[in-house]
Amino acid sequence: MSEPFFSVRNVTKRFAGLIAVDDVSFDVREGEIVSIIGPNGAGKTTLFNLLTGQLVPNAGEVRLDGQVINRLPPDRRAKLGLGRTFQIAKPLIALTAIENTMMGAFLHHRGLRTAESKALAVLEQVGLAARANVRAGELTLSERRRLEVARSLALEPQLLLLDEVMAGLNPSEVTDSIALIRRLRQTGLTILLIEHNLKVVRAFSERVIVLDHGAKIAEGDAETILNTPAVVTAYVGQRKRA
Amino acid sequence: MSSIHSTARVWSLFALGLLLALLPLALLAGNLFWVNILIYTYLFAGLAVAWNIIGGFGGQFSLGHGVFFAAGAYMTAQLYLRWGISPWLGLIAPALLCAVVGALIFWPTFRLKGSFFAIATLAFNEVGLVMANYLEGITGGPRGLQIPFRAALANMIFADQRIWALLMFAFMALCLAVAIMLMRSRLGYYLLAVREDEEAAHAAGIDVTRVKLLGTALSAALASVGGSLFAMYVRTIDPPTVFSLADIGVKFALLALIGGIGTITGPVLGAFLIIPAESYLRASLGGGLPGMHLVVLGLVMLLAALFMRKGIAGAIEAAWRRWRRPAVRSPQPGATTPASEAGRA
Amino acid sequence: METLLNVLVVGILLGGIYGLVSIGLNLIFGVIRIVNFAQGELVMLGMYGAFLGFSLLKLDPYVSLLIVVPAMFVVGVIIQRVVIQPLQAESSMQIFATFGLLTVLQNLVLVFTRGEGYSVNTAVASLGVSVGEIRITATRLIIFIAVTLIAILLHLFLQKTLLGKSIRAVTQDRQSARLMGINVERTFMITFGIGSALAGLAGVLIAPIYTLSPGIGGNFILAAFAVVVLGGLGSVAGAWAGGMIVGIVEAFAGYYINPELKQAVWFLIFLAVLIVKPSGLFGQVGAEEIGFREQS
Repeated sequence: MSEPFFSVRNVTKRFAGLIAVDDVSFDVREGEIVSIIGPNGAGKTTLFNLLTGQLVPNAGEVRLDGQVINRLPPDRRAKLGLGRTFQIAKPLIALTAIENTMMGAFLHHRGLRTAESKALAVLEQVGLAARANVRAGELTLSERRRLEVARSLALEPQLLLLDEVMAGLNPSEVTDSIALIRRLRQTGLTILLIEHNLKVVRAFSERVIVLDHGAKIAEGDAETILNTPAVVTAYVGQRKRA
Repeated sequence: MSSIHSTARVWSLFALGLLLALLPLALLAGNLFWVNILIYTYLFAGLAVAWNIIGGFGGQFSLGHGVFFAAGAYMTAQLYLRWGISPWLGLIAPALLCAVVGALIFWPTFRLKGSFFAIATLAFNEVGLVMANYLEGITGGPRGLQIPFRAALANMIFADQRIWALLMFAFMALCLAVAIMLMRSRLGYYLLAVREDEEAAHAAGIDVTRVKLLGTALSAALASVGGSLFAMYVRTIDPPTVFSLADIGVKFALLALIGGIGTITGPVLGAFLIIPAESYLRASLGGGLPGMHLVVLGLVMLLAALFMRKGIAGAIEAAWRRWRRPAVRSPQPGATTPASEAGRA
Repeated sequence: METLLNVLVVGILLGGIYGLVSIGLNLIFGVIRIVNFAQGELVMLGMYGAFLGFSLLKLDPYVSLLIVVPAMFVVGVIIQRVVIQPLQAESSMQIFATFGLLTVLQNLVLVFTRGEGYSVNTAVASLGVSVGEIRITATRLIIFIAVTLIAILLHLFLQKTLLGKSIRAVTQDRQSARLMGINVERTFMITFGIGSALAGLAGVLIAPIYTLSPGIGGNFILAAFAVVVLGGLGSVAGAWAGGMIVGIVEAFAGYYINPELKQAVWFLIFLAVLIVKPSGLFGQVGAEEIGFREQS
């Protein structure tokens, strides 16, 4: 494997003098789960938006499967196989769960019927099939988050970017979500996630990238990283929830 | 179990609805006063459906559709007056032009949200009005254009008003058919996604600008055809008439809103309520107290905005649900749900 | 050079009128972001208020200000309570409702006046000063002074007074404002009332130079939105400048391009600014987003 599946090289983003993301580089290999952690304001979501196309980096390069994507708008990146969720879930509230999911499914299934059956299969996968005809506005927070996962899964992505999909969920919902991500991973999907909850990060126990003040300060397997002094001061020092 | 109605069911409902809409014409065909009202009702129903494509489904609250209407009216009239081109052909060119140029004109405003988009498109209408007054060579300036009465099928001029009623009815049916087909297509769903949340739409691989452009093009083309028909029916067009906000540009949006924005049937219901009521009130009140009928209409508009946010279609749907499932709780008041039945029509 | 100066003076005086009829909307749309299409009709009501005072009580319009302005404040408060408050979060419904209101107000006046055009006289109508070839009438000068004075006072009011600060706080973030103990509903109500009172004041001041007709508000509404957006949302000084820009552009376009196209020119400038920089020439970038986000 010469060319990494997803590579981020020296990506930098400045906002009016403030450096939000500072020269960050990392790779994601096919089939891997990688977590990005860091204290509030470390630039995690900004980095995410640079990867998904909501923002354009001032410098650096993002490649997916060898193709340079850092200038493409979000919809083009989605078409290339990049699915994402939002930190604050963005369901299309007036539409039903299945209609929400169909919006993603349409990418590869033009027809109404085929898009619908694809969407239903995805809802099944995330455990929302029973709520298919409920308006997204009437779903619970945890259901909304799963709906977002469903919408991006319906894109049949190669790489799934999950932005704090566990935030605001109760412990049993978190357990369910971890199980869901594990199942997704078994299908061969590559996953990059931002996570605050270190319990979740440990659960996957693969590669972890730590951001602080916009820069990558550490990278490695979960157990080592979570015991590195620099990480503990940057992250745990500011957040009690270690 | 599918949430999408079968093709057969949708089109039989469509046919049934058309029959119902034709009923008043069958009953009132002998009464010229009412036939005239029905002509306007069908025309504006079609126009409101056309507006609703981008305004309701796409969520782009345009107040500039008067420009497309006027372009259709002027171009068809001039093609006929100057070069003797039959209006049947002459309505195609402006429709195509509005689809392409209209979408291009609206393009820069697509980055504006909500009321800013509305105000910008309103300004388009006003620029159109000024230009129509100024460009005398094309529009006849403030005096407008007059089309001589030469009844013939090829001229789209008829002595019998009932033919006009049927023609406007066909226009409404066309707009409805286009709307139904649209909402049973990927583009229709994409319009809903764009209305609901542009960022989420982007993330779902939707090219938001392209969707808005296509929606506007379709909507503008139909509005232009409506303008062409209007011109040939009244046979006299001038800037204050075709660029009128109260009677044209804003009217389409109002009919859709009163009927139920973002639904297939809403704009038609709105037109069937408002146009006859307006004409009737004008005839019965307008003579004695000029303006009185508009006071009443303005009040209807106000009350509809305040107490019937989802329009007639929304009210009917709510009543229907309550009647069918009395035990089920009503939808949450906080959730804004203009129309999800849109996609299922 | 002479002509240039003359056109400029005409433009500035016209700008005074545009600024004045927009100053209420500056508060209502610029600051609290209510899309009030009936704003022109509030100006129209002010004009007819001046006419009523003039014909019934033999009041000079400048005296009738004392009655019309408070009365229009009350009208504004009622409109806000009945029409705007229930539609606070829905800008497209506000367009719809205020358009209904516009239709009602316009045609009520039409019903009462039966379409007859009225005019209002004032003692100062015959006064004026000459600048070169141009005669500046006292009525227009008063308008220019008034709009400048009101802009300064409004700016101070928004920046310095407690009420002004709460108005701005409510615009920025309703939820936090409520947490800070601001009565949000009352703040909106008072703001709308002031916006309406300012429209009434504008109506009275321009009454002596226009022939009154029920539809006159329609001449002002798009101009008012243009002025408020051009200048920059929420910026009082910007709105003053916006009025001047529209007035001067109209005067120059009317003189040098074509009188028939004078409005088209500033419509196009307005559109260009709206598209390129929706926060206006003097507004903060992103100002157009404030107050329209769903605030839960």
